[in-house]
Amino acid sequence: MPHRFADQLSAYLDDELDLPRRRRLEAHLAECADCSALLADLRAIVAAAPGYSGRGPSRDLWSDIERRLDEPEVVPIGPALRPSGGPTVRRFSLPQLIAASLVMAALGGGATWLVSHGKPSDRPTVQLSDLAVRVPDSTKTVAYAESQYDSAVHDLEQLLAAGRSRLDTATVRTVEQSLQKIDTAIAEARAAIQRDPANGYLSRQIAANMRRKLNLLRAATNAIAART
Amino acid sequence: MYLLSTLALLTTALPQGGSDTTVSVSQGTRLRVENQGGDIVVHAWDKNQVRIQASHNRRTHVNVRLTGAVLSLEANADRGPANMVDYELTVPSWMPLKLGGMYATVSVDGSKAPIEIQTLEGDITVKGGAETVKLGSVQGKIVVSGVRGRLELNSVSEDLEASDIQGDIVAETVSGDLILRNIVAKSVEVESVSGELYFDGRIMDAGHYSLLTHSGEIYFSVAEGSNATISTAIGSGDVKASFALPVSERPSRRRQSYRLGNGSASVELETFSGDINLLRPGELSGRLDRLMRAREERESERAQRKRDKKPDHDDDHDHDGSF
Repeated sequence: MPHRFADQLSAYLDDELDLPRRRRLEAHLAECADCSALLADLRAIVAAAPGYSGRGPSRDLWSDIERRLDEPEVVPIGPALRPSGGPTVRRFSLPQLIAASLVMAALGGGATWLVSHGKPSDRPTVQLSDLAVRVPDSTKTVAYAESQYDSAVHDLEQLLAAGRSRLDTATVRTVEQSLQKIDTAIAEARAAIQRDPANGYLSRQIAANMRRKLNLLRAATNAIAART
Repeated sequence: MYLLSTLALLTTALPQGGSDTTVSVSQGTRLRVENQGGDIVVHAWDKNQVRIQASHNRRTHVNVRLTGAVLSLEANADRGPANMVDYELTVPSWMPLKLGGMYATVSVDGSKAPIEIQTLEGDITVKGGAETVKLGSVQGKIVVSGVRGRLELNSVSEDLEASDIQGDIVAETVSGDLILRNIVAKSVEVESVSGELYFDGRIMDAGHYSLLTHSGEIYFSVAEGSNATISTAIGSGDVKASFALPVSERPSRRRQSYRLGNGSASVELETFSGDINLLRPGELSGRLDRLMRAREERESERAQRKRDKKPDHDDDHDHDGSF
């Protein structure tokens, strides 16, 4: 877990970090080539497509939670909230954070198993760490990142399904239940962010949970590979 | 290219299978053990020697190899894959450890060195460790105490418990709870999807404390006289405090900010569908004591049920009925 500062890069670029956190992040950036590279990639994304709005969620699970709210609309709980008339705040969209998240997962080795061990489907699989540099246009990059995420998850899920008999049934059950919890969290946050697109907290949560899912699938399929 | 040293080994073969080997090592040597199945128990002593006691069946052998500055242990079998090996290791307290396994329960006691442990299924217990301690398990509980350095924890389904830690902490779970007690850290960053998060420690001036969970509760202790800016974000839960909070600097019920003292430390508490509970340290430690007692009772019952299960007739620890 060496790249926890990645979640703060968006706020850093928007000059929203308080001084202590900004100093901590800058100290980390001075030492961490990976985060510095990610920051540079994200700057490029911002410069290339400032108006990109992202994709909407496919289903709405927010209603259950919303019923319990005593306020008519969901108040942003991310740091993006600013008084009207203040400086324009541009935060990373969800796909941009997904791209960043996937790059971070790849930096942690998240996609190397697919590359080094082959893949079950015919769809092309690439090093996820290449995402931010191969496609200069940010809209393409983030869309590409999300489709690559879906592709990587699909491939890893197939590997898990094919090799599950090699793992202890309790382990498989744990992995599948955990994946379900992560999916639920992603779906709920996706639905909530549809109502509240500027919510930085939700965007970070979605990106973090997508990274978590990829890493869990990777751990499970690596375990299968080790048992083969 | 690497150097493969010839080791001076003092090995005793045990009649029931297994071995007892002692290796002399020099300062700077690291230990690496990858165990497919079985326990790894590590104790520390002040000798520059590693004692390797291994229990396994007769067709399995443990190879002890020094490659460069890495002392590694690996189990092989006469035919087929190696079977279960239970290791009991005694190592110099200065020796960095890298231990792991698929189905391995790992415990380390008395180390004053960096430790890295990764298991797929199996509990991890660590007392001690320094510089950087990294512990991870997909399906195992992690209990760690006495670390003097950075602590990184990662679990999927089981709980993480860290106590008496002096150093920064980064921790993550999917569904397990995360309990931090007696923590002295400038930086604490913990996340969970559905687990509950507990922090009972000191808020240091200019420190950073971030606890994020999607659907769990957060319990955070705030000592009187703390200098902190506490930012809370909730979806459908509430912020509850057992003491009087100052007026929030934000008007929103969903996102609030409280300045205590000079506000120098940054505390971020966020949960999508749980409550945030701010308590005094004594209140939280009392709550945690009760929680731990209840868990110990549950675990004791679970262990008893496990012991009552079908015995391992072939005595090779895998309960499969074959050798």
